[in-house]
Amino acid sequence: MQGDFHYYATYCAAVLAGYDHKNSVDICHAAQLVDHCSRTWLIKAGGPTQAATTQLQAELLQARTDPIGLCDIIRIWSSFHFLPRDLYADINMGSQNYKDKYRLICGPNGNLLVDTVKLAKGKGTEAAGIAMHVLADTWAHTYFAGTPSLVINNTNWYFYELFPRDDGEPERRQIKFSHNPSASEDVDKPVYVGSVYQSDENSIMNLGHGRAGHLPDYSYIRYVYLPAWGGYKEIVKDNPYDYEHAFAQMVYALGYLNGGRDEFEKETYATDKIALHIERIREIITKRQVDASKDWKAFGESLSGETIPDFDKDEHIAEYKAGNREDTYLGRFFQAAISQKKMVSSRIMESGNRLAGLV
Amino acid sequence: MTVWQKLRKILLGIAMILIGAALFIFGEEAYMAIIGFFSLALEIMGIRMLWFYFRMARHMVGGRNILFRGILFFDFGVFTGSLVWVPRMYVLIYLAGTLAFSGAVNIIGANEARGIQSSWKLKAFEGTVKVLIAVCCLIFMRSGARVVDICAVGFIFSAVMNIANAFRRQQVITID
Repeated sequence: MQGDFHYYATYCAAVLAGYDHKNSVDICHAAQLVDHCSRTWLIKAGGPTQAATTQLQAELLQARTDPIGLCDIIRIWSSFHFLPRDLYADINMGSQNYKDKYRLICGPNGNLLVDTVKLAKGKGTEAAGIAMHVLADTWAHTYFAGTPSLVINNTNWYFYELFPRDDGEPERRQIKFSHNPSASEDVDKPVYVGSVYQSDENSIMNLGHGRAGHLPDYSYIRYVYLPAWGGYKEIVKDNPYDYEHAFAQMVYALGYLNGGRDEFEKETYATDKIALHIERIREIITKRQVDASKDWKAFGESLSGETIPDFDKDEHIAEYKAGNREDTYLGRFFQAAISQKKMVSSRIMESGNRLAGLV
Repeated sequence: MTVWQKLRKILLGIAMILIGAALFIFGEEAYMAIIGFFSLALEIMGIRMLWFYFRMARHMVGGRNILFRGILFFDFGVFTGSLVWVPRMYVLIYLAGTLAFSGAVNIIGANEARGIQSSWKLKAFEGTVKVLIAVCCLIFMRSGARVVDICAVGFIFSAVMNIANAFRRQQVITID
């Protein structure tokens, strides 16, 4: 997912869950900051480097992919962007390494999601924002793992966009992937940008959904493909359905974090709270555009009657550097990020999976 | 590309330059050592791919490509090793053939890259030069010494391209 959903849609979800404007902005700022809090940025902000929630492209290109380097990558990407759905998934094939990687495949409504949301309870808007980023990504990044892996994350030429037709069976148009980052995407052809095939199992090109480009990040698209791990069975990825559920689950989770509910349960959605706005939400989600920020922003402002400020990742640095660091917005954000990373890494280790190392 | 990957590419380039230089200096006497080196390198690559296939890639969509490539590399390694028993002329033709094959792969890759607006010119140049060198080998096949020199030029050219690629600034797609 991108800034349109992590920032503006998260703001909308927070308002619908009962937060006021200021707290909603704080939540969506934290949710979006997860995509910017790299080690490079942390050095600039003066924060602890172990709080990194992402890696910049330049950092990834220099990242080690030996077992120790992989631990670091997995701790960041599995904790914040590709939360594993089932660390105990029943898989009876392949070596232990294959099984360990298979069990890191991301998906919604896993036990780790419950742990993530519960961990954020009572820890402020910063922790709530981080949890919302993780929750939303479980929907968008389904079927990919937060580790470099050819055998899990690879895709091939069998990749078709689905266009609904009146007679039932959707029309299929093959998607072509360009590997030039500066090439423009053409949603009409359709041509998208994706990472290049690398036969090395641990190549950084095989991290997460790199091989499928940004398709999982676009809310309007429906596509069918053969995931590397799927045994030649087609997988249909229905982003409009997933994004709607992600939004409804965010509203539900934020209702829990706001004190409106005592328990957070899997597979529960605040459909009642979004029912009044469902047409508007569906219209935004299904609109054929690669960045829906403008529409989500307008929707958010119509909900709260306030102006949503543009996201500025450096906004809180001065406050952090000047005052009592732990008691600042960034101080709480870093603490929440470290807790989340520690919790997910511990769960991975407890499952007998050594890919994230020892905690 | 990590520092280690760059270093590996540069070291491979230097090794290839040394092979080219050895061909220039020792002429036809150098090929047996080169053939042995090639054979071993290809066999190790093949075995590594087969190990990866049986442990992981056989469960992957398209994983048979890894199996076929592993078998092919190993087979080429064994075949290359067996060339010590055939006349040197055929060995040189084989070396020219591998150069031509590598060039053809570059050209096909460049063509595909062009179709999706990716960088293709350097790849096309590399492929064309390799194919031209291989053609020169065939033209001068009757003169063993000349063919050796042409092969040496081919090796050194590949090595220089390898080293240049290691220093090229690369833009790649990852995720964010």
